[in-house]
Amino acid sequence: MKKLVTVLLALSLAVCAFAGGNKESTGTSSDVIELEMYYYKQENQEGLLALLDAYMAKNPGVKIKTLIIPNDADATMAARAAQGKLADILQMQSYSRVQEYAASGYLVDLTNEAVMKKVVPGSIPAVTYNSKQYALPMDMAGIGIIYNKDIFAKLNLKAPATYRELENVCKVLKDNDITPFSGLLAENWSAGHFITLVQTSLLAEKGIDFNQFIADMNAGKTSYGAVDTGKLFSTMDFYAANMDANAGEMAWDQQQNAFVSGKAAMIVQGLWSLPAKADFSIGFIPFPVSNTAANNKFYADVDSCFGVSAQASPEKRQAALDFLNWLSTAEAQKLWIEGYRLTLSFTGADVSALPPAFTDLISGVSAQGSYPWLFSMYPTIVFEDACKNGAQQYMLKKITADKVIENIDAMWKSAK
Amino acid sequence: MVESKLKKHGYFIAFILPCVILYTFFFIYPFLRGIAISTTNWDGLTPKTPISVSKNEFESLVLHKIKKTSDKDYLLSVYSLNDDMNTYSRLSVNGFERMKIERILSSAGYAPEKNRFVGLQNYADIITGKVKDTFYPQKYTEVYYNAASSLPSRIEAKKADKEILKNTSPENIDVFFAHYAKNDDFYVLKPEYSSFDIEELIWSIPEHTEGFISDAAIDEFIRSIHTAALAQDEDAMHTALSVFLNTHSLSRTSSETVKQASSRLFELGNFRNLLSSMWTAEKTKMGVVGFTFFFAFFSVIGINLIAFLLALVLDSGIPGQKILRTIFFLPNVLSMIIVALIWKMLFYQILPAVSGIDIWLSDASKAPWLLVAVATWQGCGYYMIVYLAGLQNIPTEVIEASRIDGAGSFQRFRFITLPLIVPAITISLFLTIANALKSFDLIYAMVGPSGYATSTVPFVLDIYYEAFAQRQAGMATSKALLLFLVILLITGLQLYVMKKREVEQ
Repeated sequence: MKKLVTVLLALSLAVCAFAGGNKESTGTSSDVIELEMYYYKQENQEGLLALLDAYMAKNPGVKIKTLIIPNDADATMAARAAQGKLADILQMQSYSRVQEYAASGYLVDLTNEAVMKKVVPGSIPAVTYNSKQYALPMDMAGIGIIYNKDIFAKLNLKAPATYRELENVCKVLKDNDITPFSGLLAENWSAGHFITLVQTSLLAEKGIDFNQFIADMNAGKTSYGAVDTGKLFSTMDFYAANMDANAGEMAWDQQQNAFVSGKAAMIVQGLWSLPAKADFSIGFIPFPVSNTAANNKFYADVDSCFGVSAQASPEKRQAALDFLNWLSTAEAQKLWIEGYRLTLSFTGADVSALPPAFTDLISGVSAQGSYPWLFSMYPTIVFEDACKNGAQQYMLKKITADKVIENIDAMWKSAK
Repeated sequence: MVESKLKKHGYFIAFILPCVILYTFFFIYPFLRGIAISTTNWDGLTPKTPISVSKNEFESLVLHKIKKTSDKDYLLSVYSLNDDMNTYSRLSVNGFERMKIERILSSAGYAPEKNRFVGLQNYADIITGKVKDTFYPQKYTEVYYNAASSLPSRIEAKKADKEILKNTSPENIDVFFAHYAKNDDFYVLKPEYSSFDIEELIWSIPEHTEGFISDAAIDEFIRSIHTAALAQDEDAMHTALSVFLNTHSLSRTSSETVKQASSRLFELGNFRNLLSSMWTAEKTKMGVVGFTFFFAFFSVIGINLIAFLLALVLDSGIPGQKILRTIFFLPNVLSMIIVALIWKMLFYQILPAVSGIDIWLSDASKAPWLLVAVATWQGCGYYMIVYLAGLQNIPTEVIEASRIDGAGSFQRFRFITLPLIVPAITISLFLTIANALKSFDLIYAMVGPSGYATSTVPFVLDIYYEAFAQRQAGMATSKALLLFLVILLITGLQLYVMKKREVEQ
């Protein structure tokens, strides 16, 4: 008897070991299609859930589960893709993420879907690969200067429209013992955004076409330093010189704290960093790189988008596409804007419910246009390593200006 | 007692077999896969069996090269031509199907661009140094001031004395003090040399403020003067000046102002170049490899030394021994991430307030030592327990016998305690070395996002960034395997040396 028990135990152990790797059986009833949605914007999950609930209430035949991965979303999604277990609906960053997944064949071509016709034309490049669209652009985000309007009003300053005006503003702020820019140098991404923002603006100043520049970089025909590099790095030095002395210690929360407490008057950030609570009014303007006001535009582009996995079965794929199509309806748009507080990439979206900084962005973009997030078109490693780390190291005086350019060029060459 | 054969088999099936199976699944198989991946240029995303391929590529590179018709039929049963007739694509497949497709594709000689066999190229690149220059230790020049930027309005006096004035000629020092004046702890730029103020003269000529000359024109002019000033090219300055004066009709006073301001900016160019060349320092950065060994070396010594001392003290029978033991062990109960956050707060909020020093973790000369200190603080409690167990294992007879023989306390320590505690030292060293070489969580949470700037990126963190942020999974896997070899070698050597020193009790 004992032996029998032993053997049975051993067998059950072995079975457990094997069964762990098996796929769970699909336990849904035959007429309900269960979709999985991959999502990384943890801060906005309530808005998304409200949206999904509304959709599921209308379509009892579809059930959408969410898989929310806020940190290292990218690594997790890549790991799932490599295992062949991608979710059916995928939230992704625009440009390079879409392009990578589209190039590897993970995404369904959405070019001919009805919903794509309702998208703002300017947001199409962000989801395009080989002249086809592989995702539905959802929210626009802009990077610029978020500033404390009350401090500006108190010191009689007006929002700077040119670089010279910005220099003046910083001087006045410093004279009044207010830090002009709340710094963020303990993390590399913000410095990475900054160097590309300035470089993009300087490309425009020189009249270099953005797409041509990317193509030429890919072909090894031009250099990242094709712009006025003196101006590029002096702008970075200017930005660093107007931060707190210990900006190298400051991460995102410290930057927020310094801004919200009124110790600093401005932050150079995207609207995702708009403080949720502040007892002063907040404005949003482009970072003025140029002394020609018309050249200073928001660095704005599509932030996230939804794609459909090409590995999903045809029924699931159709259900996912139906959901994306539903997102452009008036009902869904209303839920999106009120629940999410993010701008939408659909034409004619009514965004009046958003905070004023968003209105600044939208009116600024419609009046002056915007510069695209060119960094999203760099090879991944160039932006992640050479730009982000390079800019951070430059601003912390660990590397020379020439070396930053040299590293970007070399890495770009090896990446292509 | 001889056990029955059946019983032996029973034990084998119940305990050994599951272990072997789990070991195979969770160690041997991934390890072999790792070796395979390290010989590719995989980006971590592209599957070996493409999900969709363009029609031309699929037909010319795959279908035409397959010899067996059964293989071809199988492939066409998995891949189907899309509606738009341009691409072949497949749905998701299970592991066996994938292996079969992989075999067929590789027999046709097809491999996706980003998941291609490159042999030992990755290893060769690492060993010959063809990797990012943050990987190996490196000499570099720190340039604190970029001549293209405006002069710093003030420089900390202590810093300037050390970094600028120490290694320069007396003439240069005179030039420096012609531009900067001492004010408390700072050298402050004299207002007449502030390029912002000089430029302001040009910006505020009436022709511009009244709108006859655009911002862009003034900007372009000032930038060309700066360029000429940095190159100290007088002709360029005169050309820029005469172009500006000829294009815009200026009043006499305005053009005088512009001329004067330009020549002052031009002169300033000299000093900007000089300051930029004076204010540099030759430094060495440890790089990933250097920092990993630095961190391992000092944290291993720190942890073991302090743990051993604590154990000796606690073993001496001081009062409150149990409470102290708990207190010292407590940091080890905390998760590394929490430890990191506590110390981050200390370094950002408490220590600057207490010491008046603002910069801690972002200072490349402090950060590596601070990390070693935190790791030591967190780790020593655990090893203290190991040493304490070792000390309490020493037979009291031996110690008493030595006392009777007249050995002093140092002699007892040197000739009795130390030799008998070698097994505890062996295991503690082994664990600390292996852990230190693989350290990740503490450093990631404390200085992860600024690691390359302060040269505090350990090996594993570099692998992580390489694989997941920079999409170089093949290269990252090669680095991981090399790290495995290094750890194996070092800990193997350490065990070999220490085992020889262990004595039988």
